[in-house]
Amino acid sequence: MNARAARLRQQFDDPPQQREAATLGMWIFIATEVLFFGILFAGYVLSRVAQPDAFAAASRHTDFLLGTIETGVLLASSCLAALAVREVQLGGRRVAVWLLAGTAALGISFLLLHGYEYYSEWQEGLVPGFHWNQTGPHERGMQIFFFLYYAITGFHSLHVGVGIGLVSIMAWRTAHGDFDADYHTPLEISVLYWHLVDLVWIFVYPLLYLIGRAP
Amino acid sequence: MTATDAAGGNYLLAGNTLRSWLLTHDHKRIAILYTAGITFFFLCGGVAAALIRLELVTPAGDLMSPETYNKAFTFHGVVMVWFFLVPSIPATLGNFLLPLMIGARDVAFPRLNLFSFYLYAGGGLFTIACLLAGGVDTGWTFYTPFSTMFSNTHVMLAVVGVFIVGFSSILTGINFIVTIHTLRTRGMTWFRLPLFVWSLYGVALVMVLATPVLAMTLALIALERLFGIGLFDPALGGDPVLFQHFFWFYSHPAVYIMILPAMGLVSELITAGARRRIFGYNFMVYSLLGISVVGFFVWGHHMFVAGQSMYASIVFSILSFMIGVFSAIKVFNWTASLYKGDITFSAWMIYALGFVGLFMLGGLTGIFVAAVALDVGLTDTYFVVSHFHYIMVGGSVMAYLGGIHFWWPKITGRMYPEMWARFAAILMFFGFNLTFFPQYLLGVAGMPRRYQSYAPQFQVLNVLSSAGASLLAVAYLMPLAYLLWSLRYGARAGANPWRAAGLEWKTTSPPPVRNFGEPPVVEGGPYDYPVPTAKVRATRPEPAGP
Amino acid sequence: MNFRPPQASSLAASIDQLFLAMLILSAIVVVGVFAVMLWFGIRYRHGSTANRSGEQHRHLGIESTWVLVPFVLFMGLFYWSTHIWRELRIPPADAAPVYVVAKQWMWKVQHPGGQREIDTLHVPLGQPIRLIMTSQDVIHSFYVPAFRLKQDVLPGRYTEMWFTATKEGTFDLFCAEFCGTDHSRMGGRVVVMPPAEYARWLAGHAGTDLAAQGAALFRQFGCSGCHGARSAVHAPSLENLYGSTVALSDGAQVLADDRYLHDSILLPGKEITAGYAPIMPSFAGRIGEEDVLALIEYLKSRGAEPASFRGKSEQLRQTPSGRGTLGGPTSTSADSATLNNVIPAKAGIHFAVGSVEATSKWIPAFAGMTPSFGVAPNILGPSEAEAGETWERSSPSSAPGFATAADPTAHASSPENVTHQRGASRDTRTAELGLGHSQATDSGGLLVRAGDHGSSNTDEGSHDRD
Repeated sequence: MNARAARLRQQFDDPPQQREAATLGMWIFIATEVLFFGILFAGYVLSRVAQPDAFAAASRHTDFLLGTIETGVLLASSCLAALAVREVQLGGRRVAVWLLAGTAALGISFLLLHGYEYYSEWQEGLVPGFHWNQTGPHERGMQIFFFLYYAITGFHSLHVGVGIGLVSIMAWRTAHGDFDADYHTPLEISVLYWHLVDLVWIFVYPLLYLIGRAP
Repeated sequence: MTATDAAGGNYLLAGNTLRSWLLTHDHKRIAILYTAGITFFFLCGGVAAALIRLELVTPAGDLMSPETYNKAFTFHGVVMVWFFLVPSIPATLGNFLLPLMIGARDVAFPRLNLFSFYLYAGGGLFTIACLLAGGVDTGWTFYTPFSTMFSNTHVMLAVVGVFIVGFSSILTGINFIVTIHTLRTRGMTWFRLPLFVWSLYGVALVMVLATPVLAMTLALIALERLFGIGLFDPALGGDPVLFQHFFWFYSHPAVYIMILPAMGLVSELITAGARRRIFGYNFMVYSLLGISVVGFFVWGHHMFVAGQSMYASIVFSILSFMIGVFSAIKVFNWTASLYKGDITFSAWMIYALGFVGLFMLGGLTGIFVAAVALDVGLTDTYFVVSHFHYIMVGGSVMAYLGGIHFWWPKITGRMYPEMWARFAAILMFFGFNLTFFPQYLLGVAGMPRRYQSYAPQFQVLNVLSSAGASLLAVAYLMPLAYLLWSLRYGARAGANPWRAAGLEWKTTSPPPVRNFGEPPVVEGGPYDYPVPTAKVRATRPEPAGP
Repeated sequence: MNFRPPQASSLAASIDQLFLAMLILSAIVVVGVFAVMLWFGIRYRHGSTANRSGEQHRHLGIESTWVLVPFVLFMGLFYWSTHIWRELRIPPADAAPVYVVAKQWMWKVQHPGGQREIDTLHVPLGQPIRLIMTSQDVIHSFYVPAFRLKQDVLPGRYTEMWFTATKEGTFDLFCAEFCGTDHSRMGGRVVVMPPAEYARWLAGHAGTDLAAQGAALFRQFGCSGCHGARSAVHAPSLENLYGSTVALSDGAQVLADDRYLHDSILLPGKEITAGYAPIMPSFAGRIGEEDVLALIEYLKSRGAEPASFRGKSEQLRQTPSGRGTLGGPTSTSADSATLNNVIPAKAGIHFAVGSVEATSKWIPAFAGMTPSFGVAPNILGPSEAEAGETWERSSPSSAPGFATAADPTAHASSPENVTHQRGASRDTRTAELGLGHSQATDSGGLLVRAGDHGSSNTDEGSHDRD
């Protein structure tokens, strides 16, 4: 009882109220994140409409295979995270810690893969403003595509980084028995955030890797 | 007394160390931190405004160089918009009063609240650093390609500052929405919320949904300067008008971030001053929400001559007229709330009535520029400058100062000197009109904005405006002086010196740390002032006991 | 005291009527609300014995009144204003085109007859004029208070504005969109003259007409090498192109208007004509906006404009597809050359820094084109003789003077602490003004640039970079 009372912050009357507030807060935060990325997607769509050929040409330079693997990695990590929450809800702890560690590990491998992708793009001269080797009639439009590519994936990777931190902290706290079947709000909203990171990628992947690839 | 002690005792005395203030989680102390912050930035922005008005006394542009002038108005705009107006009412009075008004002990996320203050301060540091490093000359609108490809000033620092302060406003918005949703006390149903709380709810929605767009747009500007490549660069087939769309998608709703809380706040003041229920509570709520929602779809009225399509302009024009309808409802309802009231003209009531008058003038000229055919001639002239100063300064600042006076006893436990305050309020009203009414005429005469030197035919009006600005400066400094004086020498205030309705008056002045001894229970609507009986000389009935 | 500037355009009077109507309406509202507020304030002040009984609880009727009355009024005003707005935006068919190129901080005007002016626009009384405007650096706004008109001028695209001047005289011209240091000095005048006097003015300042200048440029930039009738290169014919509908390789159709031609020269990869390979190099950074306008004028002269074109153009431009609102801006070689000649150092920084890089980067891409210079077939038509003079206009030696605002690395790498030199930019301004005028009278409206200035200014550019 004492431990539970300590978790209840003074501004709340009871644990359900606290939990409702935390969850609602995270959902609203996710709404802001959606708009944050939304404006990048809007910029992408409008630029693509303005220069469809250049964008098609540029998207053929992205790494389809790596992009697909990255998608798989993120989806798998989200799955592990969801299983971890379920485990905690059912009263488990040890498995949940491993699942969360797995989530974080997959997140890290996503970043590594993406880092490799950036590296090979640098080699190819696909970094506008710094190392650009492409020429031809679509050069200028392609620069805009790659500008957006770095902006979108860069901000997304930043979110993945934050997510890895959050999930690691949650794994640590789970290991120390902070959560049980009754109280696991922080874990739940951290995983919610991780799903957001995944969700954004679901839009990034087709926009950057799929559209315009077909001849 | 015991109830107060049980709730933690007077929040001002809950700790005297610097640490107890800087690391506080108490929404009331955070509100005071914010007040100090925005007062500082208001003075900074005010100094820039003074420089601008001094320069414009003569047509020649002989006081400072064009670069200095451009930096001065940019600094004025950036500071006043993002570091004063946007946080002004929500982060200070809103932060202080929201939990009190809904009978809560604190906001939903007190630590987040403190964090958002530090984001505000951090953003402010960048802006000051930008000023010290030499300033920025793009105008607060950061229009591309000037800001990305042509300006040699410190655009990056300014953009980063605004980017950070944007997150402060997002976090405040999240906090308010969750607080209003989850922490209302027993009996406080949605349609018993005071209008100020409703307005904070509307504002929080706008903050949460519009600010990310600004943040990302500014990030794109920063990246464009960094890479030398970007979406907005016409040399690459990019589109500078796209930037304007993104920018105004935030910045027009941001105008409502600045004015909506003022509208809610003034509703509190007018009902308390007239001791009357607000006229048409439901219409007030719906028009507030209407403005918040429709406000998201009128951004294009900033771009009638910017090269957007003729038909887009027509759609944005008709939606802008809709905002006019919502605003008209509010002005008429405030006026009607005076009917059969028991009106006292305290300083805050003078501010509130001044607000209604100035807001009406600003709103009506808004209709002029909503009409595309007129906007073609008037946009980017002093007409527009005057229009938004009537709304922002005449509206928001008057309301903010009115609110500060009204709740001063609650916040500090002291009364302010009434006569000085009335004098300052009246001086401010006249000083404001003298400053900005000539600017309408300047706009009609055709003087473009952001001009350091101008054609000689505009001088008479500019001199009038500058003269008004000096009155206005005095009127703004007066409250600063006498309010600080009253902190020490003001008479002690009771729990409810104005006999106002509202939960915040049901606790002690200043409130205890956890706001209420017992969680209050609400049994009626807001503004439940007793109805005076017929033909009896109106006297002030005692407030209903708890 | 009348603050309103004179009504000098055909639409000014109707705009002013709307203004007056709204002013009267607003005055009624303001006086009404203030009167009611004052009355309530006095009658129901604290301590008065006014009757306060009978509180009204049913507000719906009153509320609906003051929702509906403003709504109806606003809709009326909206209709009125939109009616004028449509007139403002759709130019009459007989409007005479005049080209305006804005740059920091001056207005350059080109008449189709080759007359050039700086910071001044001469127009005839009573004749509709259509301004076709673009900017070669940042956004500006062409504002004539006496006409009640304003239009932003954007880099990389054409914006239009039309008016019929109805009053003789000289009127203020302002830049209304903040454009940098000397924004407040970027003004000038619009001179409205009776048609006969205007005709004399035109004759007195005539130069090689714009189409002929374009013809010369067409040859000089090597366009004729590919687009000429006898060319071996498979390139679309430009005969009767202007105003026609072009099928693109992605299946879309596009109207060949000013915007299309502009973008095809500067961003050729954007819209590729069906059946042709995308082999045309971009001329962005190589050709100035004024020269592009001359080329377009020349292309217009090679094809009759269908009568129905104008309405169609407006329609197409407004399609929401967003296709082709964009284009490419650059500082013209001509202007940066002149600019850099006169400016000691800093004021030209936007244009000068990085210019060498930009040029050298493009020369290989363009190298393939050079052989065709010599084989320019005789497609230039009657104005060829005159066009011959314009060979002098910009010899290849001015190439080092190419400086491009479009080259982003220049700005990205330019140190943030470089400040404008106010005096320097003023000097430029007056210098170029003088230059502009003397050309208009002395050299038949042509800017003559000497190559040696170009090279000296390259030195300035590289010096800045250090």
